[in-house]
Parts: sequence; structure tokens; C-alpha cells
Amino acid sequence: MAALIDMEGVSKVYRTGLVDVAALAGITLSVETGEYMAIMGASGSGKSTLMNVIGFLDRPTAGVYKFAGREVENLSDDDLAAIRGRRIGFVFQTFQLLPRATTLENVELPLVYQSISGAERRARAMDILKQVGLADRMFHTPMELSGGQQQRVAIARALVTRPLLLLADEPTGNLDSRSGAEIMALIDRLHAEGLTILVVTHDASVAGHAGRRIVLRDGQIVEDTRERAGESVNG
Amino acid sequence: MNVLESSRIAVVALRANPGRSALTMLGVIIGVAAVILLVSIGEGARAYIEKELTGIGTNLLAIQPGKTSTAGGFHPPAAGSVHKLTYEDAKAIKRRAYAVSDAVPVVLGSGKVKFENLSRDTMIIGTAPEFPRVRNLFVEIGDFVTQADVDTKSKVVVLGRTVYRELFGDRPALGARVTIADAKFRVVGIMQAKGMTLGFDIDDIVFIPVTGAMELYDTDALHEILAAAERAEEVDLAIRQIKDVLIKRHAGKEDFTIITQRAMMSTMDTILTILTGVLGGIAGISLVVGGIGIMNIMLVSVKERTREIGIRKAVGARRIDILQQFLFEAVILSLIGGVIGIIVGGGIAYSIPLFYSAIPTRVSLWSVTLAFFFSVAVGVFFGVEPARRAARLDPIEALRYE
Repeated sequence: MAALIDMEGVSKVYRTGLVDVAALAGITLSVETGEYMAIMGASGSGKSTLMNVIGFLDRPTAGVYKFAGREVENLSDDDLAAIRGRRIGFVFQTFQLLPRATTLENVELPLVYQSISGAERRARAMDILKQVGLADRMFHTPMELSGGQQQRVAIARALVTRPLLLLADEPTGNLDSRSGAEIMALIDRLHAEGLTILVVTHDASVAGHAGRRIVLRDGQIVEDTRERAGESVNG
Repeated sequence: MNVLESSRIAVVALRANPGRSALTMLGVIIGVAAVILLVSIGEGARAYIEKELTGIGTNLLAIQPGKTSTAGGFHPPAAGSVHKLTYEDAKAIKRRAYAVSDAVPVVLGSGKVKFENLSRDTMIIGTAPEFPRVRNLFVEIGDFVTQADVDTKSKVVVLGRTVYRELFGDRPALGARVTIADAKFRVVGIMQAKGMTLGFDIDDIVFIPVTGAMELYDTDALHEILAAAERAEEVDLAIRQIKDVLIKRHAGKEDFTIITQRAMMSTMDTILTILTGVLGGIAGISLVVGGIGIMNIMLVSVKERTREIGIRKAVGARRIDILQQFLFEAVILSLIGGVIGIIVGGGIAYSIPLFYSAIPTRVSLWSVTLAFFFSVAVGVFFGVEPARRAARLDPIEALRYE
């Protein structure tokens, strides 16, 4: 099977005043469809930048990045937005839900930008919310939900577009250990169902769920280890 | 994303801050209402004056001494003129210009009219019997000045309604003797009430024979000759004939000016168009200020909702989607403000004449249409920059924004 993510010498250099800062310094990485990979590293190691580049929130300044077999270079902001909207699902540490919108509206949001009709949007969002166990919280706003529930809304929003890749940035970082375990169990389940998952974390126990771990330091991959897949690890 | 979706998102956002949205809208409401109101006053004045001028008669001509090169308008009677118009000129016009049905001499003056112990300063017009016919005036009691009165310089007077009421109250006046400039005049008629015409009280006048007036003011010059063309479409012919007659009588010189009703109307129309434009422009400034209010609040809103923009971009919103969302917010604010402003401004404009009949107003379709589109344009114009800022935000930065 062709690699879903294929990076060759990808760099990202930020210009801050006179000094250039290399957040990524020549990343070569290949991720197969169906893999479950953790990206680790200390803060400032470049793991967030790598996630942003993989998730099309940011562009590399050098190197070749192929996603699902297509080289992604010279894409406009709108092209990047379209790929994000259709191919990638994001889960953030701080949930990033619209505070005034209901659970259902938050989950529908990506579909709004794909010109999908209101009825279909609603049906798909409701279906996903049932899968993540929030069927009874559809008309609550994020303020009325617990942290674990909010993160499940965020996961539902990431899944509603049927993406090729789920990118989770410290998904348990703002949760207590029990909610965190529930979220990781949910992510494990999604992987078991065949979804490709990348988790950015500095937490070894979170990374332990993944079958593959890469460690970044100063914008370079210093470790790349594979284990037996972590489906059996439970809570 | 379609228009309906953008509108829905914009309305939700506006309803999240009802107080702020209402205050922002108020700026536009006041601006639009002011435009509608002031333009309606200007338009009302124009309609009123047009009606008044048409009421005087469209085939009316005024011949004034002195040559001016302007197309028409009001000139101070006899200002700087050395060549006089005389009663003989008026008679010659009537006799020789066959397209002219009437040529009425007018001598204007003012003076004190006394009866018993009451007196009133009023306008005195010395004229001929055709005057009421030319100016659409009617005698209510008695008769107007007759040709015999003019020929014999009779000391007779016809009182305007206001003068009659002031001097006589409800008492009968016919046959009474009033004093004008130390001379006794016998009252032979009372005019029908006409009311104000162009701010000029046509009832506050007394009429005496033109010959008597010339004697009273010791002059043989007329202030003007009022002439009426036989038919409205013969006005141009009448003007040519009057010119022929007068130039011959004035030793080959065109030392007079003929003002037509049409010229007066077009002059008034020009003045009132400028007036309406100036009023509308002043009101337009307040609409622009309202637009700046929208821009201000939209800039604040974009700043506050940076994270929301980041979230939307992360899940696939394109620049145009974000631009549209924020632009629609601004346009909906100005659009609703515009509609309310039209209702408020139109309502005030309609009710003003109910309370102050002296201020005629007219809400015209074009001013409503203009105000409506102008308010929408204000929303677009002042909404574009905040919306562009929102659309240009970097999603990573926006998601990190606290």
C-alpha cells in the first residue's frame, strides 16, 4: 500500500528578525495508511510544527511532502483549507469548540464548508455523536459539558468529514486521568476500525498506545521505533 | 458556502451581542432617517413651490425694466434701471401684441392704511382691472378697480382679506373711507382669502388704480408689467411680440427683461435641487459616521473572535468563507438599520405636516431607494476591511490566540 504521508527532507524555517529559526530541519518520514503513530519530543523540538505541516495548517519551506500520493507544493491557502476540511481531522489539547454553538452545530461545522445540505449535515453529525456516546448531549453548549465530553465532541467533529488522517495534539493534556483514558480508548477504537492516527504528545503513557513512536529534537527525528500495535492496551 | 448559510451564521453572531448590535445599528438608523427626513423636506418644498407657481398660471409673463442676461429669476424691481416702463407701454402691448391676452401695469409701494383709530402697514399695489384675472385672485365682496377708476384716478381701494380683518374686524367695510398717505380712499371691494404664496401673504395687500398709485408715489414708472399669453403654447410668440412692441417704443433698445413662468420655475427648481442635495449631503455625513461605527465594532468583533476564525479555518473554511461571514454581519447591520431608518424617517416626515402645516414634506421613492442602497453600500464599504483582516488570519496563530 502506498504511504499516506511521504516526507523527504522537509524543513520549516521561521524568520524572526535577523535570525532564522529552523523548527524542522530535514524531516524524512513515511507513514502508511492505518498506522498509529506518536510524535514525541520536548517543547520546542518541532513536534507541533510537524503536526501543522502534516495537517496543512502550515507550509514547509523546503523538501517534498506527498500526501495520499499527491505532491503538495505551491498550494494556495484555499487549497490547503479544502484538504484540511476533507482529508484531515484535528483534535486539539484545548478542544477548540465554538463556545456559543451546540454540540450538534460544532460537529456539523466542517460540513458547512463543504456545501452539504442541512439535513444531511445533521444526519451525519448525529450519527457520529452516537458513535462517541454523546447522543444525549446534542443540544448542549461546550460550557455545559465536562472536559472529556468536550474532547469527544471535538473527535466527532474531526470524524464527521470521514478523513484519511486523524491528528491529535496532546488530546489528553487538559483532562483528568479517567477522562484521558476514555479518550485514548476511543482513539484506539478508531484505529482498530482502520483510521490512520497521529498523536502529538510528551506523555509516554499516551504514546504507549501507538504502534510507532518518533522522537524529535531540534527539528530532527532522533528516534523511530515500532512495536506491536497497542490495541490490547486498555485504560 | 452559500449566501443563506453566511447570513445564518452572521445573524447568530449578531444575536449573541444584542445590545452592541442595536447600538451599532442606531448609527445607521439615525443616518438613514436623517437622509429621508431632510430630503423629504426639500422635496416637499419643491412640490409646494411648483404647485404655487403653477397656480399663478403657466402662461404668465413678467416684464421688468432693465436688461439682464440671465435666463430668469427674481430681480429687485427696477434696480439700476434708467429706462422706465410706463402705463403707455402696457397699453401698447395689450393693443398690438395679439398673442397677449392681458398686460397689466403694476406699481408697488408700501404705506400705512388707516381707519378710525386703527392702522396697518401694508403693501399697496397700483394696477388695472385685469390684475385678479392674471393672478388667479377673486373679489369676494364688491368690485375690483374698474377701468373707469383707472381713467379718472378715482380714490378707491380694494382691501386684501388680512387688511380688512385688521381694520374692520367683522364690520361691513364697503363704502367706508380709509386713509392712505393723507388721502381718503373709498373701499369698493374685499378680496377673497388666498393665503400664503411662497411665504408672501397675498391677503396683506390693498389695491388702488394704477394712475392713483403713480400720483401717490409721484412717478410715471411701473415696477413691472404682468402679461398673460393667450394660450400656454403661445408664450414664445407672446415674448417676441412684446419685444417688438417695446423695442420700437424704447428707441430700438432692449432695456427690459421678460421673465416667464417657466424660467421662474426652472430657477426655483435649480435652487431647490441644490438645497435638497445639501440637506441630503449633510444627512449623508451622519450615515457615513454610522458606517464608521459599524467598522469599529466589526474590527473589535474580528479581534474577539480570532479563535473562532482559527477553528473555522482548521476545519476547512476558505478565505472567501470567512470574508463572506464577516462582510454579511456588517451588511446585515446596515441593511436592518437602513430599513428601520427608512420607517422612522418616513414616519417623522409624514407626521410633520400633521403638526406643522407650514412645513410640507414629501417622501419620494427615489430618496427611499437611494437611502436603502446607500446604507447597504456603507455596510459593504466599512465591512470589507474588518472582513479582510479576518480572512487573512493565519490559522495557527488564530488557534493560539487567547
